[in-house]
Amino acid sequence: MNVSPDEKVTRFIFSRGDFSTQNGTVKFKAFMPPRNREIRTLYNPDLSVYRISALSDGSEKLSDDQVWKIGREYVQTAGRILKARADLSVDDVYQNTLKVVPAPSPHKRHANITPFPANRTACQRIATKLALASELVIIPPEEI
Amino acid sequence: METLHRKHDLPLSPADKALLRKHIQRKLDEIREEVEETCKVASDVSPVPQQAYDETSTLLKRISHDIPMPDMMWLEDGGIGLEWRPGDGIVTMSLYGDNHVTFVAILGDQHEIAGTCPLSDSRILPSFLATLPLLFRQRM
Repeated sequence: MNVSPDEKVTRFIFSRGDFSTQNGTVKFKAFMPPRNREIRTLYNPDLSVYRISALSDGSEKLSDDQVWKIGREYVQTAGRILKARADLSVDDVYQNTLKVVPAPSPHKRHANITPFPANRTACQRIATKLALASELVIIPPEEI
Repeated sequence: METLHRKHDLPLSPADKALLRKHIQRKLDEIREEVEETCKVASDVSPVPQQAYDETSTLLKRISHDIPMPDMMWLEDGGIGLEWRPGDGIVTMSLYGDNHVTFVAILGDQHEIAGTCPLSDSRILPSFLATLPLLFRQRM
């Protein structure tokens, strides 16, 4: 079952090059899916995100603190420290002919934006549109 | 987005050209340093080939001096990305060192251009680059 278009998802960001504090924008890079491991010229169909709105199972909307906690505990690694996140309406994803599908591992709020097209032009086009539609949230100093 | 632009797209003086080259080089050096640092600690990141840096430098020198310098970033799959935000629109380009450039421009709900072409292309790429100053004039 797909995620409701009324929900919001977030993409965690680990590089300062993925956003601009000057104009408060998220770069298209943050929404580029990883390359296919076997065929390096193609892209993976899935882009990992986390659902931050209330869920249909009765779980409440996450507070900012709870969102950062998920990022730190399930996504951040020793070499890749959380810097920011890009919040995005699921409806904006659907308007780009993609879906948001729950993928509840490693966390029940994990989901994938899918299926990204395999080729470079189409991927960059969608990543650019999602970056334009997303909202930058910088990690507060006390969360680092 | 840093501004290194002039009021009219006149040819740059030798001093301005040198300044532009230096600015581009400094940005690419910063990216190179960040890529190297990240590759040491993250296994899922591809290094950026020297050819991608060279292509980015060459492309930036072809872009009109009438628009702001783009935000420059490295892409985790081994490329360099460029991004402009003309008003409420967005323009992105990417280079991976394979003699091609991918470009996307989105302006409002109706206007969209996207493609990939060789850097040596004599029709599509020059047309796209020529459009950039117009986007900024309309949107800034």
